[in-house]
Amino acid sequence: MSSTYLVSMSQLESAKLRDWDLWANLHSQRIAFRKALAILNFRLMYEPMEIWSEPYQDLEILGLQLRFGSENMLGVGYGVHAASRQIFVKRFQWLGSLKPPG
Amino acid sequence: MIPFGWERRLELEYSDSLKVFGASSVIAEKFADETFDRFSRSLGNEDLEGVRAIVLDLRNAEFDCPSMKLAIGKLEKTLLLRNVQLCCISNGRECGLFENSLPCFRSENELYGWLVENSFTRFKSSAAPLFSFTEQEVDDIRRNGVVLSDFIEELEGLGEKVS
Repeated sequence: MSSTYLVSMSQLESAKLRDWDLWANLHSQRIAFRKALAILNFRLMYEPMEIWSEPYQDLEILGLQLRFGSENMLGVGYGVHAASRQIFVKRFQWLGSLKPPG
Repeated sequence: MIPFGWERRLELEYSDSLKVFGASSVIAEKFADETFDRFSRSLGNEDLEGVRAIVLDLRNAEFDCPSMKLAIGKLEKTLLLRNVQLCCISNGRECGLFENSLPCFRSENELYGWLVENSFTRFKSSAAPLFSFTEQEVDDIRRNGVVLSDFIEELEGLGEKVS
């Protein structure tokens, strides 16, 4: 669908998410974790600049608007490249009080 | 000094306009009235310049004591005089107990929604930038990045192995 954004992250970030998924499974949080991740993915794909997240800074040289949003225990810092409809995820952040190691 | 048992919740990166205090499990025990009273008085000595709201994380607190409810109501009124909105986050059982206008959220998510609606920002104006991008990082994600949808699909496929 042409109106969606392509959401990508680094290999390092995906490895971190994989570790978090394993940790969440051990701490009975996997369902909530995956649900939060799926909701964030939907929002990043369809409404990355809506009110669920906050604009943080414009990186004009790269054409990116940096934003931070959250769903349940997961926060995400990302850049929106509106011209190419791409989302670059900088990092996911665990906001819950019980945190994965590292 | 904020008394023992009330810890500042620093894991959330909110702006200076919001303070979040959480009642530790100590408060859930028999000293709830006394410690809340001390906490309440200590807030009176806090510098609340620029603070728009104070969130009490009461998910571990004991609400069976009526005097604590009264104390919370009194604290709310005191703070309103200083233009500071008191609100709380609980596990849901306490919601509706308050006769006043105290916003009471059943989950962190509800609280986040309220913060967004009321134009709170999570970023401290004086804080170092949370994150940024270099051109190389963006290029790297473009060339070698992982698409989040694909990753989630793959993760779901691994569901049986993980559980």
